[in-house]
Amino acid sequence: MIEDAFEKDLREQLRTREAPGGFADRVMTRVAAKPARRRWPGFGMPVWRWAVAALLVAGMVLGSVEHDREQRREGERAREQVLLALRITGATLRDVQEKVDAESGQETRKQSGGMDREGQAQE
Amino acid sequence: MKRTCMTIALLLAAVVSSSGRAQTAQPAQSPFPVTIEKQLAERAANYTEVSLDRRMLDFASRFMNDKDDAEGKRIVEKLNGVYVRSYEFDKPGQYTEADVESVRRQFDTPEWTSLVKTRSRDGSDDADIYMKLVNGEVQGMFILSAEPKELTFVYISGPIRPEDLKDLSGNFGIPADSYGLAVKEKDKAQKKAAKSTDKGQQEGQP
Repeated sequence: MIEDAFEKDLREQLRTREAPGGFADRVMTRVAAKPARRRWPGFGMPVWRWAVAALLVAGMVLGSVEHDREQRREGERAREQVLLALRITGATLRDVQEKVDAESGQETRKQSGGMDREGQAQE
Repeated sequence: MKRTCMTIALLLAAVVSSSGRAQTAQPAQSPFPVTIEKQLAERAANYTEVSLDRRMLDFASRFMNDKDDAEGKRIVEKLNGVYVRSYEFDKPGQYTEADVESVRRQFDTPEWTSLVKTRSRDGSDDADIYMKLVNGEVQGMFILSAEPKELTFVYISGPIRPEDLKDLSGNFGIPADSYGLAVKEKDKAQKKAAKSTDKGQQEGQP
């Protein structure tokens, strides 16, 4: 069989060669030094999608917290309005009471004045 | 599938963020003539307007948890609305009798019974208490106090009983004997209503 130059060259290149001395040791040393690259679990989603989802959840939680805080502030304002309304109602009733009492007092004085005059007239 | 999940997540975030914004409450509708309110407010040195409808009263009562708030909470929980207008003027003569009459007229209907009516010559020292009686039960109260430099209207909608005023006595400035005043007047009104019913029945008889 006549080997052509190409086949001869190819055989020469693919011939098994002994590794240089200490090669295996050097490889194992480097393997031990380099930390194992963790595989991202991902569950099929890349990192950036998880980051977006985390941001959305954080946004929802923050929104909910802020909503509660705002509700509490509004509730306090409403409570103060109710107490103010009740205070003004009380003060207004007191004013009305005073007016009624003043009127009753006047009526009583008129009646007693009339009775005195009748008493005097009879005498 | 992934695109759908993302879309749903974005929509949820949008919904939550929009609900997080403070609810802009519709202002409660005033039972008093709006024109008069505006005019009085313009002339007043300072004024107070409180309008609390049923929704706001329910909302406020959720935050009335102090020991001192207990009675107030018990009363407002039953009410449909509380409306207060109080105007202070820097000199007498800033409102007319016609202004007061236009407010009073809102309560000049058969449902309302005048319990207290005091009048002064010039209308600057008047007082009124009206009660709305439905089937013998109080379903509203209107209080008016007019003084030379101060004018106050209070309208309470809902089952406010004179006994409730007793429970508030000593709190919020409500005088201890306002209970007695209101009970006397309520009894008078109920007797009057009973008399007119009897009269109607007698007239109906052959």
